Amino acid sequence: MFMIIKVKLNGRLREFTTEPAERVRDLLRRENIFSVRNGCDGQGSCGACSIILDGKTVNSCLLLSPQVDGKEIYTVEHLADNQDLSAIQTAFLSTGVVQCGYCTPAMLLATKNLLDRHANPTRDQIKDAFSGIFCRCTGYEQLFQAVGLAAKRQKDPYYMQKTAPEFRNELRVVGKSAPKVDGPRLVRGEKAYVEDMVLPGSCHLKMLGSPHAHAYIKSIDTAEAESMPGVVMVITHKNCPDVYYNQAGQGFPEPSPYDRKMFGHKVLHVGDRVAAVVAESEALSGEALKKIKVEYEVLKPVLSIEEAEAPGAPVVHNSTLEYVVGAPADLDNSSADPRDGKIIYQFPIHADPHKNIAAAVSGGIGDIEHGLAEAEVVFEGIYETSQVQCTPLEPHVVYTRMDGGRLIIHASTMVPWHLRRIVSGILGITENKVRVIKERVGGAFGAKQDIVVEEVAAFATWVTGRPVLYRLNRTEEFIASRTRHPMEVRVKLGGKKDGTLTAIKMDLKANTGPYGAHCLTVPMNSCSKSLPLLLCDNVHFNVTTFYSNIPPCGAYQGYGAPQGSYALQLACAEMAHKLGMDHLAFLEKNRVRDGSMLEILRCLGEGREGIPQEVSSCGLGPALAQGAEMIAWGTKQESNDPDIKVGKGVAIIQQGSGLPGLDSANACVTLQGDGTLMLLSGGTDVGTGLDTLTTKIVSECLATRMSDVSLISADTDVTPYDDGAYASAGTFFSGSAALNAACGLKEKILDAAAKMIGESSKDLVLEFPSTVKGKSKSVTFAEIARYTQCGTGEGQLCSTACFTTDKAAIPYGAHFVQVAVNTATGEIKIQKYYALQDCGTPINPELALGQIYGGVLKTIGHSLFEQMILDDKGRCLNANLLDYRVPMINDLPEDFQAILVETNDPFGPFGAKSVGEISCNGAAPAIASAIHDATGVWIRSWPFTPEKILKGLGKI
Amino acid sequence: MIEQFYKPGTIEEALDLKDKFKECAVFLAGGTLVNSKDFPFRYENIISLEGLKLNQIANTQGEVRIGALCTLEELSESSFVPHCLKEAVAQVVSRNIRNLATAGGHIAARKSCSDLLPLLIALEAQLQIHTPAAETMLLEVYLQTRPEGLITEIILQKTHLSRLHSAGCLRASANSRSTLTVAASLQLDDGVVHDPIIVLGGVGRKLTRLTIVETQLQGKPMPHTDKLVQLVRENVEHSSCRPTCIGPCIWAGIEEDADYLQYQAGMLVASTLRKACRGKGACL
Ligand SMILES: Cc1cc2nc3c(=O)[nH]c(=O)nc-3n(C[C@H](O)[C@H](O)[C@H](O)COP(=O)(O)OP(=O)(O)OC[C@H]3O[C@@H](n4cnc5c(N)ncnc54)[C@H](O)[C@@H]3O)c2cc1C
Ligand code: FES
Ligand code: FES
Repeated sequence: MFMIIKVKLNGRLREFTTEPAERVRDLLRRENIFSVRNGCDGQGSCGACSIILDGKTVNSCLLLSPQVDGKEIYTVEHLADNQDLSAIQTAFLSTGVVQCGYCTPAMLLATKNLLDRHANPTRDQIKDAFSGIFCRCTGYEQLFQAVGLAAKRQKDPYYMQKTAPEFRNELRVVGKSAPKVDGPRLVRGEKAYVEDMVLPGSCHLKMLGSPHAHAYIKSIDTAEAESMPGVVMVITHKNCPDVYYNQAGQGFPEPSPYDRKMFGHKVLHVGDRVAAVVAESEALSGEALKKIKVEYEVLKPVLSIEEAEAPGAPVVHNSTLEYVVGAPADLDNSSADPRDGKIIYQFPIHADPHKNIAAAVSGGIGDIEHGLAEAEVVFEGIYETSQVQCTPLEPHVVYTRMDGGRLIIHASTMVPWHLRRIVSGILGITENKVRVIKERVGGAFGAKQDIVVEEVAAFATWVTGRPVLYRLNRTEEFIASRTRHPMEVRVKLGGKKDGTLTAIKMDLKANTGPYGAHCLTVPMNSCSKSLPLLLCDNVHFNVTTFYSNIPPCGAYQGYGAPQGSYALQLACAEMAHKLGMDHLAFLEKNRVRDGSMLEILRCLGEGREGIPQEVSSCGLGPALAQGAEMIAWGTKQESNDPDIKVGKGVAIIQQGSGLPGLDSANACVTLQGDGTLMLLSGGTDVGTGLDTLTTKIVSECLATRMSDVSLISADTDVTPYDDGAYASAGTFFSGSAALNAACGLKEKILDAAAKMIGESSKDLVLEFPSTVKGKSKSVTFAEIARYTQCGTGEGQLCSTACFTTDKAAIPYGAHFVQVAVNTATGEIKIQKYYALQDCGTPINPELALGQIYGGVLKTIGHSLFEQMILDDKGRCLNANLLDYRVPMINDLPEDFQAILVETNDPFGPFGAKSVGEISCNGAAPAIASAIHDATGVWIRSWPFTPEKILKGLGKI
Repeated sequence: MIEQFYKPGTIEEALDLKDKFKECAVFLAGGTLVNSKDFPFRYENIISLEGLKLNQIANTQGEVRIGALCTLEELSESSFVPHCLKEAVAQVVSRNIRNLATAGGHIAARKSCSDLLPLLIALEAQLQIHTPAAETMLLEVYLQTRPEGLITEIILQKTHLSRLHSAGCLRASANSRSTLTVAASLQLDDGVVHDPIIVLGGVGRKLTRLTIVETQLQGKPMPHTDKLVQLVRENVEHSSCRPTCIGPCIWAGIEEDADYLQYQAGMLVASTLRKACRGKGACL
């Protein structure tokens, strides 16, 4: 039944024709109000769809459209006055609280509503205002500053305030705060994400997921679904491309095995692909899914490492094995079942899928047995980590369409070029026939390093010629996208009584789930980002990754380092305790420092020999010193409540800045006719601020205003190649490519100016803004552009550059925690969390801080309460944002501080190193050691639930 | 699939519509449950209660009367609502939800892990309910008998409000549903407990009155915490602690095991009773 409702929308009286079932969120989006987002499919748990309804913030997905008849609605679209952003919007940009921006409209409305109620809100009032809005990126902390600044700017629009520390006085924009270049678009709630690009008349793709964790498809009947009017295509294992691939977006040839087709004969996890329906409406594709009849031969699922390695365990991939190079001499496929298909390895990764082993590697330096024999004290512990979901607020989504015989993919991805390569390989077409446009990404965190949805929609579009939208719902995002690998890590340490480490042994087992995306590299990274922190002559590691039937694992911010760091750093705390030594003193004694040679990295390459590195810059010393002072290390805090015990903990951490010898990035800068610049960067900004960083680098290098540099990034038709936004490569690789391109253009500008002025280019310097200064006179970039672009000139000045390196710029950090544990209830409160990070020169300081807060809060989540719960059939019981327990603003530590410890790395652009992932590595070990300091209990598996504390205390 | 949206202006009209469409119609208050994707039922007819103007809070000599359509946020803002109830409302962490969810809808949803229901039972709240005849019934009786009907008011007797009250909950994180909720109400004369009411939610399918514990406390000084915990652990049935299903009916207990929940129930009851005893007196 259609009805007409009247609504005052953003100050204008409007009439809408609607149906009673239509949710207000859908109505508004239909009316081009794009700012109302969707993070939970209408559960009411994310707040991304917030509106202000009659003066109150509410979730528009929980309202039927007739409920707002006669009412007044405000959305973010009303905040700006044409081109002029409101005080709240500018405050958000100044404080760096906009990352992916998917939650930003909701946050802005909550701020508006809060400031309407309280001109100067307290911290508790701010927390209350944002209490129902989930943000996975920012860690919320900078919101307090944003609200404070907004309150001041509402009174005085020109109010300025320093929002982050500044670095490198000699530089103009690098190391200084500046609004994100994509920020205005995000705070206006403009079209920005894949879902905003969908044209009317597009088809919708929906996936029939397997109800079983492990089963053969005995039969599948799609006839009834296909006969429904409006159903355009049904895809199953019978008609999908006969191509094996891996969904991991990694450099080719990938270490991840090609162990899947688009649809398999066998389903390997609950939610695994059985059939896809492409239909002319979302409802219709849902209806058609119900008409598909499937018969399964259900097999026993394998759900844990223990089950996977047990003798006689069900085999997850009883496949025929093939190698592109390096097939083992004893390769035996006699027991393979044809229904399991093939696994193709690009090169050996020591897999034995018939024993459920997806990958294995071992290596080391020195002589581990000698190191242990030399030890006066030996400690051994086993640490376990649970499965954690990335939960980007915007789930995986893709929109595909044809244009002039070419396939256009609007993607929410971290890897546009890998995506193009993988999709064109599956479709059997050349890469030039495919264009990937990376839209703004509503949170990625590693999950979007994999091709989780794109290839199916691309296939549907390529075959039918129809535009197709495919978006996972929140349940699918939980069970069918990517998660952090559960791991079991046995650590053995040997040391002298004075604390000197003589041996480190790490035996790591990981559960990769049904497919081998990142099965070698994530668990290896657990070692390569934890072992090199400690200087020890005898180090050995074993890594074995198992297949199982749990939801797929893959990349998640930190990429295995959080698990490895938890195990090794907590083992250090335990070792220090066993030695009777202060934990911090133990770390100081054994930690890496400037100039240390990291030989261990030679055996920690990604499926090939790695490159040993000399530490080029290390801020651990100052970070430890400052953190210890901030938290008053060594002094015991007491509580008035006898049940409450207070303790302190510390962990040292590191990450990488991309993969030396593997990664590459490119950029191109061109001089425009009026002297402004156009930057084409392959770098993929997934909300982290990479676009701002590359823009700043070009602006700094070419002495140009930031506003005179425009940027297009991550569009495979327009911008040059970049591996993508993973392995913490953005700043180092994409930033350096931009810098190289800018330096190249600088030379050309100087050469052209030299000719114009008649002086040697060596005598010329750039002068801000956009001017070349010679001894006799100056010329502007605009004059140079006119000179070079005119009929007698040498053409438009343009510089394309690449960045590859064999050097690593390793970021370091020290995290300090103070917890209060209620020994009667096991509850843990984080009273203080200080994250001190050395990311070289922080190019965008306020955005770097946001990365740190966000990384820490995510991992406080998995340390304290986040985990996926599976039943004995492999079904996830908490595949939604309420039951899964993601951190909200009310979960923040009472005193939460991110501190940037400055170093100047010789290899990073303007001395910068990465900051995006490292901050995920400290929370678990630091909190666990603080819990021990408070209670005497070592918690050797995350999350550290009250239940585990009580068990440790012998209370239950 | 929803086909019709009705917005009756009177209670009678609303009841007539419900009578006409019976199980094909549902009352809609804030809609945080009915319109949520988790709501397990689908109705053809929606009867919005908004037009009934049941959003007043009245403070008379003997009682506080809360209109069923008052939102939880309105409860927390009203000067007539007892502060212990405001504290319980504050446990519903999301402001966006509090701005929509209504008191009547919250009660009719009958969630075992509700943050408000244990306290409302402990306050011996009554409901004005039309079934279709108007009647007043104890909330506790309503939850046991589950009558069909339209709740129009929640009535709090001031005589009950003068007792000592407290509510508490156990939650794993800020936005998670409460694993356990507890409320207690009692009188304390010279340190001796009188007429205690202890309500536990979150475990099992129903809210539970811990009547055996109440009897054991009656007429005695408040026992030591360890004793209290022991008492509750013995009297929360082991089986009722075992998580039985997930989804909107049973919100809690997916992750925790039974011994743990029993222990925490004991701790939570003990701390809630102690908090009530520490209170200055009336909830008002
Ligand atoms: C994301 C989210 C988080 C939540 N968090 C919490 C929490 O932390 N703590 C907590 O305690 N609760 C929580 N809740 C539950 C919430 O409090 C209830 O959903 C809400 O109170 C129900 O009220 P409503 O007005 O929205 O009801 P509706 O959804 O409109 O209705 C709920 C039910 O009550 C019936 N009904 C409504 N009004 C009446 C009436 N006057 N008479 C008879 N029947 C009626 C409806 O027919 C329906 O069956 C949460 C809910 C959501 C969606
Ligand atoms: S989409 Fe509305 S609350 Fe999540
Ligand atoms: S900025 Fe909040 S979800 Fe990304």
